[in-house]
Amino acid sequence: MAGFGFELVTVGLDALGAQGCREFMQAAKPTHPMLLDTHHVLAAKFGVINIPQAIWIDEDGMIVRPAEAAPAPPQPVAPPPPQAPAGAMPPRFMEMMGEAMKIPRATGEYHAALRDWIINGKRSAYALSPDEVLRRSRPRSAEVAHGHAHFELACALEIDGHHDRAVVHFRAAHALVPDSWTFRRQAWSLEVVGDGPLRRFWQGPHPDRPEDWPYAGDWLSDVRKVGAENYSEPWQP
Amino acid sequence: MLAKTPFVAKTEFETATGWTFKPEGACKAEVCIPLTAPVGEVVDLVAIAGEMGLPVVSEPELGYWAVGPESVGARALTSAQAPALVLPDLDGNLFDLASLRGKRVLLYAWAPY
Repeated sequence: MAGFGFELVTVGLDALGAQGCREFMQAAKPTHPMLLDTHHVLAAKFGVINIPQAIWIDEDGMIVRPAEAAPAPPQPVAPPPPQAPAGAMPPRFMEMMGEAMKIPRATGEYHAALRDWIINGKRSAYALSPDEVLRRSRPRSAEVAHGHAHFELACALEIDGHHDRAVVHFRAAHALVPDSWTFRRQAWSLEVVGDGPLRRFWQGPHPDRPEDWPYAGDWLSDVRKVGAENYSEPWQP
Repeated sequence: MLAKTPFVAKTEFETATGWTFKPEGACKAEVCIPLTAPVGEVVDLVAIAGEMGLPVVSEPELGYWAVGPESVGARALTSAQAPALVLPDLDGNLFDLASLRGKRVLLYAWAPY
């Protein structure tokens, strides 16, 4: 693929930056640029609302596919999440994995389209016109834009240790941008429940102290409410 | 964009938001928004953002101001031209997406949670 002038750039969306992403990035032994996005600039600039998502940018700097759900690219990107020791998996994680397995993925189709574009460039049917790119890009009302401001502020507050104020602004962002899974998952992942390598995936209340959970939703409840099959929009060629 | 006070250097505002101040107003790609608020070397975030329809939220006592993105055309993208993107790698070195001009790029967003 390298001969066609193709480059993969991966971006970790995490307010915890290097601290949060290092383990994954180093294990991936990258041969491509791997960047850190602590304030979710990719959400504000490109309309990313969930991960993993990807954007295609052609050799002239034009977006030819706006942010959409995407399977892991053909090269190794990051290892799968760390595994808990066998037999130690709390029931919640089993339930989350059960829901995650119901999320539809168009991996084969997407990779075939990607290869077609890498080889054929502008002639590829999968490279969209500027008008189509705009038409398919994320809707953004004034309320949603307002939510982005709250989210960016929340990340800055969290990074500087003002956790309680960060929570206030994360909550505002969630209310204003109900479509963004990354806004919710980032906030949930910062609530420490337990320890171990899977702690950031818990994303829900402590089983013994549910009243301490500061958010309206959590990963398991929210995925069940919308239905795992609706977790990401189906891929449209 | 983030700031510690509601007054920022004009160039900082332009770099952070991707909007450029011209005689016609604040411009990005083919869109220009006329302005009545003065634009000197320093801009008043609240006044300018208000005219541009950009949201501003703050924690003034802690020293945090955030200006949110535009919603031109009620879409996340104002234009199909890829916006400027400069982000650090693990070592803190800044990487500019524009340095890849001439290549087809897959920009892939992931998270460790």
